[in-house]
Amino acid sequence: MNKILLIIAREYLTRVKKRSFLITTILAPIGMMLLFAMQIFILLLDTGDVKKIMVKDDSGLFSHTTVSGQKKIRDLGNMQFTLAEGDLEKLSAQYREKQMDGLLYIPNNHYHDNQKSSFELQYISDQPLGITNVSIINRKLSKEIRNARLQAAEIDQELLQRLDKIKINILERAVDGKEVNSGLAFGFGMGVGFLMYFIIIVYGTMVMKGVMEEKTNRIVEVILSSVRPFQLMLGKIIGIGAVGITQFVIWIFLALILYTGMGLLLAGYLPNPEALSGSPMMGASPAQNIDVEEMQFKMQMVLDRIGSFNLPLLIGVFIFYFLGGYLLYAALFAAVGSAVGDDSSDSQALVFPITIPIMLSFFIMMYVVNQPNSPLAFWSSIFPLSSPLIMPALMPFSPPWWQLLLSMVMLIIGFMFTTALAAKIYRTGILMWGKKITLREMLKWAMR
Amino acid sequence: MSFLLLNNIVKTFDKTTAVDHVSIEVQPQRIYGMLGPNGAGKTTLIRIITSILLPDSGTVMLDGEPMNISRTRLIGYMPEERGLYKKMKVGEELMYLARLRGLTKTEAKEKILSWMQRFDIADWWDKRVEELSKGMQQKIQFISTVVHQPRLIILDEPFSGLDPINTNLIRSEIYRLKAEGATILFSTHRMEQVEEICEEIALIHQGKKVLEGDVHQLKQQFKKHIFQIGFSGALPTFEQAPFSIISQSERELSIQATADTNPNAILSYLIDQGMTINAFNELLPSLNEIFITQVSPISNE
Repeated sequence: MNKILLIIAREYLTRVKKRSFLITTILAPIGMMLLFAMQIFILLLDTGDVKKIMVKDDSGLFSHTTVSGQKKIRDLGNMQFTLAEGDLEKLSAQYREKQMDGLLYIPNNHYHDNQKSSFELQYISDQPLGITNVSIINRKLSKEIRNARLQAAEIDQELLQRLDKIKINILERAVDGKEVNSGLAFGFGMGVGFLMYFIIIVYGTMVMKGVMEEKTNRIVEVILSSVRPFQLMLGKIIGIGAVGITQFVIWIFLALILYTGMGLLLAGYLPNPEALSGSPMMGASPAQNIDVEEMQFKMQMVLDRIGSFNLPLLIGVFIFYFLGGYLLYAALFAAVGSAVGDDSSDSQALVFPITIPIMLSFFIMMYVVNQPNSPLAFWSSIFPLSSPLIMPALMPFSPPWWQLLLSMVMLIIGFMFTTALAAKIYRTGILMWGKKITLREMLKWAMR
Repeated sequence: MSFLLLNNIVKTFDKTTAVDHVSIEVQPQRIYGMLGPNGAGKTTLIRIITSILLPDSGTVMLDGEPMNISRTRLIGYMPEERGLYKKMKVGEELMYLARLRGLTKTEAKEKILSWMQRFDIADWWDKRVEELSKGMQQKIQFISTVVHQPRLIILDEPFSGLDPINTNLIRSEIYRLKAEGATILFSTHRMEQVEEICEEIALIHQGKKVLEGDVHQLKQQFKKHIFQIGFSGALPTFEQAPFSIISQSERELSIQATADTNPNAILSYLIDQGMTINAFNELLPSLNEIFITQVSPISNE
């Protein structure tokens, strides 16, 4: 027993002490966070070039007339507009002399005709207008056309604004009164299922590589003269599992820091919708205000719903399937590692039978979060090769407790079965060099 | 009483019999050689002794008790296929291997340090194994084999890949460990390498033990009574000689006598013939030659 602890300690410490562990565990997420933060920062401090644009507005939609009868135009985003009158040909020759970047021509084009829905403007310049500016002008003009037409149809503006605010929320309730939310459960299930998939592939491969390393290094026989093959295999699986848990604990910790950090950051900016929309002009429009309110409302709803999940149960189930799924597949990966010889390119063919059920489970999982009550969902949540991905994904849909229990028992049995099977293959394969081993031989060893 | 006793060991893989009713007895503090070509079943036998494999039938007794995995501390095993974790530091790696063999942390550290001092590598503790040359790694491997003071040291092809300096180093360490009470079991197909080290040998061929015994006695048993004689002066005519001549040159003569010929009689005959003898040497067969004479009848079956 003492020896298995030694093996676990070595497997764990050699990996945790490696520089690459530090990089992937701490620096990579921090780097990603910084990248993300930088994008937000750049968005907030959008300092695009200011474009000076001459506007010839024949429609009268883009400019408005003040009480004193003067025609005026408001700047939009990073665009500064100057109204101009006259012949288009002349103006297009002039704009540069007047230190402008371009000329926008809005022809008078039957904007009030309700049959007409597409219009063309002209922008004359030697520089492109830019996708943001195009969309800003587009939006502004659409809105003006819409308002003009509504006014012509004598529809009350206030009523219209109220109509825009109509929102529909479907509250789903199970018979037992528990609240469910398909969308959220779907998202949550997908997330957890994907995480399980990632865990099994990444750490399973790590186990396989570790076994192959021992075999190609030729150290395995030295070690096997002191410990049983099963102890070595199990010690490696547990040690690498502990590395995974460490990595997750660190990530959860980082996520908490990020969460609080983001909270503080958003608290500083959110009350000011102008900052979020990036432009004072756009923020001033009522439509933008609604967007922010709606976003806050949705966020609150999501948080409330997450609160309505049985979080301790969810976390408990996740940990169980994380461990069970990892142990089940890690043993199989170890068996493959032991059978692969010095030529690691053979491993591809032998790994395939393991990755197939994982990938299949992943696809089933994507279907199952849409159809949580289908027979496929039930059976795949019981079958040990797929249950580690399926069952945690089904948890937000509140499956019956006996289904969960059956699935857990089956996973324990399945894990014991694959470990016993893998141990037999491992015992034979690990001391076999210079021979290409086929899947059939592996199965033969397992059946012995 | 024998220290290591293999009794009628049988081991088959699929349809091939790797070890076929082999019995071996090794006396304490002896250097015993298990010789035979590649694939003869030597490594399988060793894996059975070290409890890595279980025999289909037969027993292994070590120091009077049946061998099992919990008694592997008594054994120090250097396999033919040997290596180290490349990314670990020398000290860490030796500590790990020593502790796997059952030493406590303090014991292990003390033993490792004294071995490193003996091999003049005390300052390697924090070096990574992959930074070491092959010869250096071989020293580490040897230390890891004997660090826990095993009573039985098993060396499978110990000199394969060793440079001459390490070969001599390990050879002298083997003698020292033997003097301190260890029993040594060699396994090799390079028979000429162990001829002068081993006191006793067993020849293994196709899973069977074909011959065993004291090296000196075996050589006597299989000798062909060939003598090599160095001389100066003219050659006599060899009338009524008690031997026949195999070859002759200006300074050397090879002769073939019979089993009942006394070497003294040969010498006195040559002296009587008026020859000046510079050297007189009986040619004993090498283990390799003995092996071939023993194996060829089997192979020809």
